[in-house]
Amino acid sequence: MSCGEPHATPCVEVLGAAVFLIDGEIEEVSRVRDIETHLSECPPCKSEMEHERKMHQMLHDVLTRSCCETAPPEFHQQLAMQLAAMRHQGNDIFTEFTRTEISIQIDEFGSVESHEITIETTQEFHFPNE
Amino acid sequence: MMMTEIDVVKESAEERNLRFERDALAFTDQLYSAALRYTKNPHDAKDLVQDTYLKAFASFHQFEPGTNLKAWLYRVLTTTFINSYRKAQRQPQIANAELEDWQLAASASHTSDQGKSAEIQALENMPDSDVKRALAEIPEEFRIAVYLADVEGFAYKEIAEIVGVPTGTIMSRLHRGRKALRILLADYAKERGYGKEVTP
Repeated sequence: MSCGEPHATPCVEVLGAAVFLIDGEIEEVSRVRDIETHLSECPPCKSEMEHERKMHQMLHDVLTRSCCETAPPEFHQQLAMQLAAMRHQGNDIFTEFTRTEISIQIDEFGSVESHEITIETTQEFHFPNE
Repeated sequence: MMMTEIDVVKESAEERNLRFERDALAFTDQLYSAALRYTKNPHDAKDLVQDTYLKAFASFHQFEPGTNLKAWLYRVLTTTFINSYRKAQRQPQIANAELEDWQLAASASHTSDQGKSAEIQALENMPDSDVKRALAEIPEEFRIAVYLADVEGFAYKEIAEIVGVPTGTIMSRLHRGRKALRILLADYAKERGYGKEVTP
């Protein structure tokens, strides 16, 4: 699996990274560039990469082609009606709001002159009507 | 006047619920298709999607507008499936020993040039029913990872968040899942004879 020529990035490393390159999951630009340089120098790796890319694309194509069922229209209706019913019936919701203020002042020769801490929290409680 | 941003503080519960119906219901077909892959049957798939919407409706106040609604719904769908449907269907998580077997099978595959073109040809002619059968046969963890990456196009990090496991785990499941899938599809092709060179 090598052309026999020395490379800055070894073949095994390039082939190991192939899937990440194809998935677009290599963030470092320099790493992408290193791999591309290698591919331009090494025909066996280039051919392997092209095959992987093609297989990857084809697997994606057959999967998306095959897995595209649509839900039955009555199921769409049923969901819409259920959600609308829940909205009309309304959930029992109450909101709890708390505010905590702490201020610290120490005399002018002390280390702490003034501190102010304000904590605000808002919590919502949902009780769906059964 | 165009409303470009949602003021969640001023938005009433009623408005939020309407927004949920408008935005979230657009994903029904996609979620149903995913649920079919997860549960493997239309009855459970409908139940799973319905549960997903009811849960998502109840916790929609936690969803941050402007972030990825699709990914959020998939997280609800996937965690609902993992937590309840799998238990109900009594499908235990695959044991480590089985994982090893899959890994071995996957790493044993070696592709010659001839094998490469046969592999591509087999995929081109693959009927939808065989693709679905192959997906149904690979272990559940692999199936979910492959589906989310290759059908829905989520990034590794997004899948990790949806499934609730580290990114490294997703990378491994995805890698092994795709390999297992390719091996199965090649086997089907051999069985049916559509992977072979066609001679006129």
